[in-house]
Amino acid sequence: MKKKLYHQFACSSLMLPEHRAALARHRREEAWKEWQRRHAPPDEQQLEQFQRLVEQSMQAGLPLKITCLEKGRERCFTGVAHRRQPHPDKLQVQVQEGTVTIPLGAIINLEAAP
Amino acid sequence: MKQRKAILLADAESFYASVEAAQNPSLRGKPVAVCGDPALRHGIVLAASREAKAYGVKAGQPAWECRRLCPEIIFIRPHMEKYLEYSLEMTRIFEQFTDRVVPYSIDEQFLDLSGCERLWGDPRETARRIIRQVWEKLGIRCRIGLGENPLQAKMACDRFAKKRADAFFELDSASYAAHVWPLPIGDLFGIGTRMELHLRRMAVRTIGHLARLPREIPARLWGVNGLLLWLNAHGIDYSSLEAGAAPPPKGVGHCATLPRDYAAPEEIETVLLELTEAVCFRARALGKMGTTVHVYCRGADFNHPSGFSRQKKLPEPAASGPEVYPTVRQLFRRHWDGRPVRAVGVSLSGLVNRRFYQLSLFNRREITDALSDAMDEIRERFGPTALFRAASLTSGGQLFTRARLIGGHER
Repeated sequence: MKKKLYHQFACSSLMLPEHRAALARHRREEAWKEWQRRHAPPDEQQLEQFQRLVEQSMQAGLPLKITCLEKGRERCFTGVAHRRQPHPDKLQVQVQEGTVTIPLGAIINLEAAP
Repeated sequence: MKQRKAILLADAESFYASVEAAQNPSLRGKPVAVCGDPALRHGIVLAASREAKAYGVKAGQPAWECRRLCPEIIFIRPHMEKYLEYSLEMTRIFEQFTDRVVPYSIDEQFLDLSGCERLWGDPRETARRIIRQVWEKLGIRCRIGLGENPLQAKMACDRFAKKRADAFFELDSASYAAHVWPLPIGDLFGIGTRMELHLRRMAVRTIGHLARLPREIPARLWGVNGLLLWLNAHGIDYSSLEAGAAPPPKGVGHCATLPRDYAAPEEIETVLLELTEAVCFRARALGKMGTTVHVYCRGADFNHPSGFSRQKKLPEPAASGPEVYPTVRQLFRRHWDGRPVRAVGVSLSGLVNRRFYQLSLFNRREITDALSDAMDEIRERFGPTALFRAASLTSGGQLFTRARLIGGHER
């Protein structure tokens, strides 16, 4: 089967290079907005909820799924919080591979692990 | 149960003319034609309003013919940047309904609404909401065809929705034959005038006639194209609208209609040089190099068509003016008959990845590559006229005129 059978519209599409460039710019802008939306810093209510979950984890061993930003990239850890370091605020989490230390300011989401 | 697909094709009515009317409401209800500058030999109609079409004015007609058909017609120069903005606005409206929006041209866009029923309800109702929203937000009348695949959506839009007052029509696999088969063969998507002639000679006058042929006949006569037409006649389409599903471009090219007939070889060669630079710039932007260069030249005399269209393999893949242009000039000098020229074009095909190439002992390619990259950076930042060849300042040069155009029309 030839490519044309699967792409007859892509093959016959008439797009100006300027239109393609404008669309690519639009897609980049949308992706950036989506990234910002997803990585917005948590609000007061969320912070309170995070606090509660961390306390439960430290007291009762509740496993947490923590999403944080590291150099602009999303990273996810699943483990139990066991210590909070002050100055600067960091959270030590016991994960399967060992212990990780996560700066509290980098956390964008925190929930009970499924 | 297999989920039914819901593909929409949204088409803006007389797009350029509609944008002009949306910007200037005093044009509403009047015969309007968007037309290039006849002085620059761009005097053909690009779009005509519904009122102008009622007089028989069509896209592609010369301005004088439109004036003869409709003496009170209002000619407006194109504003391509504005049309691109409106097209993007339409994309933004469509993206409120689905993230699978695929523009097909400046005025046509596919939308995949499959699986959005729980979010938006019935696709027919969604289509009508989209039509309303485009009208309310942009003042542009949009027609929508709905189908189970892009082909059905396209046929529904082009052949039915455009003729209906509600600007909407739906085709599906069950109703396709009943609606589409009685249509003349030329109405099938993918059939041009030459193919229509071939088919008519075979007594295939309607889409139904083609559909009833054994599929081996068109496949044997025209290969994959024949098979594709037979499938289209049955409403079968394997096209994908997934992002990144489209095959990479096979080539890049540019052509230019000259503002006057060029008879001096050095003038024509100047334009060929500018086009070569533009083509190489685009190839580099894609991260590609070309292996074959193609030169096209159309003679000025319409009554005695002349010109040529020839291609040649490059000694090695290239994407820079100094490497490609000698072959372009060689093709031109060998095939040009010396008669005045009206239009020229250059394209590069057989694209290969620019990062991998055969090293040469005598040719320091990395130097030309670095030079090209530096020139690209400057042009991207400051525009195509920031850095140019001195030849563009001579009488034949078209660089500065072309920099003011989008798709060959005024910005």
